[in-house]
This record gives sequence, structure tokens and C-alpha cells, in this order.
Amino acid sequence: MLSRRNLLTGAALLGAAAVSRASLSAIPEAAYPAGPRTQVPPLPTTGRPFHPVVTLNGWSAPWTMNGEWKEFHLVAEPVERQIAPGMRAKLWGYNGQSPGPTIEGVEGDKVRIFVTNKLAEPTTVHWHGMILPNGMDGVGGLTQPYIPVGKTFVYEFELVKSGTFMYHPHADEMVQMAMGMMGLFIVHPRDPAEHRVDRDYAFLINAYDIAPGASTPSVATMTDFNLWSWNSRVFPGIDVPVAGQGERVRIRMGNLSMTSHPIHLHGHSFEVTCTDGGWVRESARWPEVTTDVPVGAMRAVEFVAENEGDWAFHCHKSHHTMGPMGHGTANMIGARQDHLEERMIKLVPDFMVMGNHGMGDMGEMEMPLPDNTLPMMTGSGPFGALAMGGMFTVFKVRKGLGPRDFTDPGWYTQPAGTTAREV
Amino acid sequence: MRRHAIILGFALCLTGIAPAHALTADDAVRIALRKHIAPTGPIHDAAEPDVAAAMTEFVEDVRGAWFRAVAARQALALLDEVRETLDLSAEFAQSLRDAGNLSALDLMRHQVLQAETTAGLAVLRADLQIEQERLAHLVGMALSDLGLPDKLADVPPSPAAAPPTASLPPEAQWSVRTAHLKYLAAHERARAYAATIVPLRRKITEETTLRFNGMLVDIFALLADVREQASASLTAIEAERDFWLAENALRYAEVVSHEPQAAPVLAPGARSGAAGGGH
Ligand SMILES: [Cu+2]
Repeated sequence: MLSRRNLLTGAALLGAAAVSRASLSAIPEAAYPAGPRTQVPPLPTTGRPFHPVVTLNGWSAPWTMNGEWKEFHLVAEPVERQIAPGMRAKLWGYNGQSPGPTIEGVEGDKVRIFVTNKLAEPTTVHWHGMILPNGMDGVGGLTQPYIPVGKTFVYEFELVKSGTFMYHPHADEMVQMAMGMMGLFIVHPRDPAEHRVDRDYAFLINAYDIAPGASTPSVATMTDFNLWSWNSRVFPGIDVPVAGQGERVRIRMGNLSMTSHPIHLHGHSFEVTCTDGGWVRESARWPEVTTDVPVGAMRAVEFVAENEGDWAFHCHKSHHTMGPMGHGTANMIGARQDHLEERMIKLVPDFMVMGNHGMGDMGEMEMPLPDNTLPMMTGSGPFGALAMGGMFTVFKVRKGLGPRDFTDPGWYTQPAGTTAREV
Repeated sequence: MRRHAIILGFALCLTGIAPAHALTADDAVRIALRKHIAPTGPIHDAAEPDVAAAMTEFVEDVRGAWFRAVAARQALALLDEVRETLDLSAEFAQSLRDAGNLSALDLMRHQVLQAETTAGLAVLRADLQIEQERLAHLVGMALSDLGLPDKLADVPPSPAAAPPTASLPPEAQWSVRTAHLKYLAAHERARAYAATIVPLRRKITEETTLRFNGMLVDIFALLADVREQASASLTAIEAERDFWLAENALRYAEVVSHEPQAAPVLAPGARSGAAGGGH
């Protein structure tokens, strides 16, 4: 269900990109998503044909055709995002969510993107990786005046090349990106057969530092983030990408966090086929199973989903597959504690010894935690605790999956005799 | 002076049977009066102003000693808790050291904190012991036979209204006024500890326990908050004791400045200060 919000009826604006009073009435209404789960976009019915991407825990913005222009409307505003069941964050985003909607167009499209600023401070939108006129590049103070609070600006440019791009503010960007302002911008080839894949997934990599029990990110954090997220979601809140056995799959990833992420897929090898600079020549590709996505960069990997199963798909920095944890705390590993437990319980009736066998225990126990705080490790699979968090999900390959079927098929049933076993 | 006769009236109608309930402040006064005054001379001496004044002061002193002794009993248990948090911190640190997880330097930091604080507690413990023994001395009983209640009575939610002093001579007005101001301040402090500070400290420990569960803080942080909570409870007991002492002092100021019918010293009821209010 799409909820609709009224447009602001602001006064006439100054500046080259500002929308005049006369044209405000012509702005398409901003669309809003239904919730934090993946919304598979419909096939396009207007404009040039293309195969839409599936944004993990996201959605694609609808557009209005106005003559030869494809019109979108982004509303920059405070939003509430469920990071995973059990935790909600107060973020800034676009059209009710962080990240904002994925904008999809086709090479050669002329796009007109209205941006309404409902934040408490000025903003701009930079179209990362896109080739466009200098005045449309969205760098506040350098290429345009800031979009003042309550005002609507318009960006107009032609999508001159296909590829994998993103958008984010270039105004107080450390704060605005730390608060979650970002979105994907996918430009499909003019020929839908070019770079054709069966399933095209996309997500942005981001990170937040939200104190246990709080809900707003600390915007001055540089390194010590405690929520390592994909599209502002963490395990077990990240939806599972699925593929039919034998299908060609693309996964597009953009990194707007402040550190690099070596993204790793089990059970397959892939090639990087596209960056935010454009498509990679076939002769320049090489096979790998982990690709590092640097800060402010994008990577699209492609592979054939040859192997049935439930395959872990995650960042290979192991602390990025963990939920919030304490830093600088005592290292309990291997330390004898049991002999003190009874005395501790006299002082703290709910006390339980933690961490002396390693931290894996924690994935198995459901201990009461502070409000709005995710466990450091959680989740369970068919064989027990997963003990994961952060940037982790499962890529599921199954026989005979329908081409538009994105539902989670449940746990994989391994053929008899093919499971690691005790001897 | 008639008020002194009233005091003696209470003291002398005692039966000499030890109280079956926990020893109240008034019990202590009766027993102490019997021990120190009744045997010392003829009853009519009490009608002499000097003797009567000394007796009133004695009553105030015994009551004060009772409040101090009960508070001390409560405080000693908490002192043990504070000490236990320090012992446990040092023992956890030793476990970590044994496992190779802690440097000798960090172990010594835990040990020195434990030793320093424990050394300070020794003096406090002796003070609390003395508070109890003083009451035992005043009533002439062994400490173990005192049968003190477990805790002082809760501080009433609202303080008593200012006593009427208009009819008193200026000196008496001033002493009652001063005692009342001190009483009000002690009331505010004790209520703040009972109603706000101690509950907040308890909630903080609960929240820290949740953070400990999530491995967001470590055992030392948890023990530190338990220690802060015990310290706050100690201060709360001190504040409660100070309230009852201020209440006692206010009563004393009233008694020595009023005609006897206005304020009997051994009035039973809400102001007794003993938990459970038994008389
Ligand atoms: Cu990572």
C-alpha cells in the first residue's frame, strides 16, 4: 500500500534549480514504500523497456512520463527504519525510508528529479558516478546553491551511459550520510538484451553507531560503528536473495560506509562486471569469490547460480558479521569464572557467566538485552545457532524457481550422505 | 516542672519485662531510665529543675543512640556488599591473569583498588560497631541481647508542619526554628535518597546487567555499578538516620521550650522511628 503525502506549497524559490510557484502544481506526488521488506518492482509499463533490479529490503521509485521526460520526486526527510526485528532507528532518508528508493532509468532517458527538503537543514543530491552537466552534480556551494529547508529543487539530465550508480547528499555529508541518506541509481542498457541477467539484485553498504538502548546514530563516529548494515538492515533482517539453479545472477553493491568491505559468496565464483565507472571489459575480468568494495565505490558481480543450496553471503571482516558489542571490555576467553558465579548471583540475581568458552555461547542464548538493542550474535539455521549479525544473509539456489519468484524457499534439504558428520 | 514528672511517670510505670518485639526507641529509653535514674535516688529529685533537664537530655541521647545503632546494623550488611564487589573484582582479575588475558599491571590496579577501599572500610566498620555498642552500654545490655529491628522506619512522605512558636520567648523560638529547618533539610535529603537516588541506582544496575548480557560491558563495569548501588544505599541509610536524629532534636527543642501538655517526650505513634511501629 502506497501512502501519499501532500506536496509542500512553498513560496517561489530563488536560484537556477529552484522550482517556481507555477511549476509546483506539476510536480509528481512523492511515492512511499510499504515497509522494510523487499518490494519487487513491477515491469515498466511506460518509457523504454528494462529488467528492473530487486533492491534488498528496498524498492524502486515509480515515475511519471511528462513528454520526453521521466519525472521522479524525492523527499529528503527524517524516517524511522527497522534495522532488524527488535530494533528501530531514527534516521534521515528519502520518501519514508533509508536508503531512499532505487531510481531506475534507461540509457538515453531524460530524467527530471524533484527534491523536496523536509530536513531541518539544507541539503543537495549528488548523482554519484553519473555523467551530467556540472550544474546538476549536486555539490552544495560548488555547483549549486543548497536546497533550503522546506524548498523543492529540480535536477534535469540525460542518462548518457548505463551502469550502477547511487545518490547521496553533498551538503553536511558526514552527518547526512551517517544518518542514512543515500539511494541506488541504476541505468539499464538501451538494448534490454545487453548485459542481460535473470536476476539483478542491488543494495548499498552502510554503517551506523547507535548506542545500546538509543535509536539515533551518533553522527560524529568515524570508525567504531556497531551496526554494519546492507540497506540499513542487519542480519537477521536482511532479506535472502534467491535464484533458480542455472540462472545468471548479478549483485550490485555500493559502499557509502567509512570503511571497505570484502564481500564474499559461498559455493560460487563470480566476476566483477561493472563498477560505478561503467562496465568491465570481458578481457579484464577475473574470477574470485570475494571482492573488496572500497569506500565510495560500487561493484557489480555476476555468476551462474550453478549449485543448489543455502550459501552464506557476507562481508568477510568478521566483526562486520556481528551485532553491537562492547569495545575495550575484559577478555574472558579461557578464564575460570564458574567458581565465582554463586557469589555473583547473590549480588546480581540474573547473573550468568559470559564469554569464557568464546562468544559462541551468546548465539545460542536468548539473554534479555537493553531496549531497542540487537544481540551481538543471533539467528538459527537447520543445524543450530547461526550466531551472526550485521552484514550476513543467505543466498538460496533452488531447482525450478519461477522467473519472478522471489519468495524465501526455506532451508535447503541436503541430499542424504552429503552433510558433514561425526565419525 | 510538670513535664519532667511526665517523663518519670513513663519511666517508672515500666514493668521490667523485656520487650517481646524488636527493641523500639521508647523501649530503649524506658530501660535506660530504669538503669540510670530509678536506682540512683528518691523519686522526688526528679522534680528539681536541674535533674529534670538532665533527664530530658538523657532521653534525647538514648533515642539518638537507638537511631544510630539501628542504622549501623543496616549499614554493616551493605558494607559487606561493597567489600564483596571489590573482592570479586580482584578475584575475576586474578582469573583473567591466570588465563593469560590480563597484564600484571592491570591485575595490580584491581588489587590496589580492593586493598585501598577495604582499608577505608575497616574504620567505617569500627564506627558502626561503636554506634551499636554505645546503645548496649546505655541500656545496660549485651549487644547480642538488644534485639534491634532490621531497619529504621521509612521517612514519611511529607514533613511535619512548623511547630507553633509564637507564644515562646525569643530564645526558645530560635532553637525550635533552627531544629525545624534542620529537620526539613534532613527530610528532603532522606526522601531524595529513598524516592529517587536509590531506585535510580537500582535501575542502573539492572540496565548494566542487560548490557553485560549483551557483552556490551564487562564484569568489572557490572561490579562497579553494584558497588555504586550499595554505596547509594549506605548513604540512604545515613540520610534516613539523620532524618530521625533531626526529628528527635526537633522534639527535644519543643519539649524544653513548651509547657508539658503540648509535647510529651515519650509520645507513641507515627514519630517512634522504629520499623513496624511496635510499642
Ligand atoms: Cu564489512
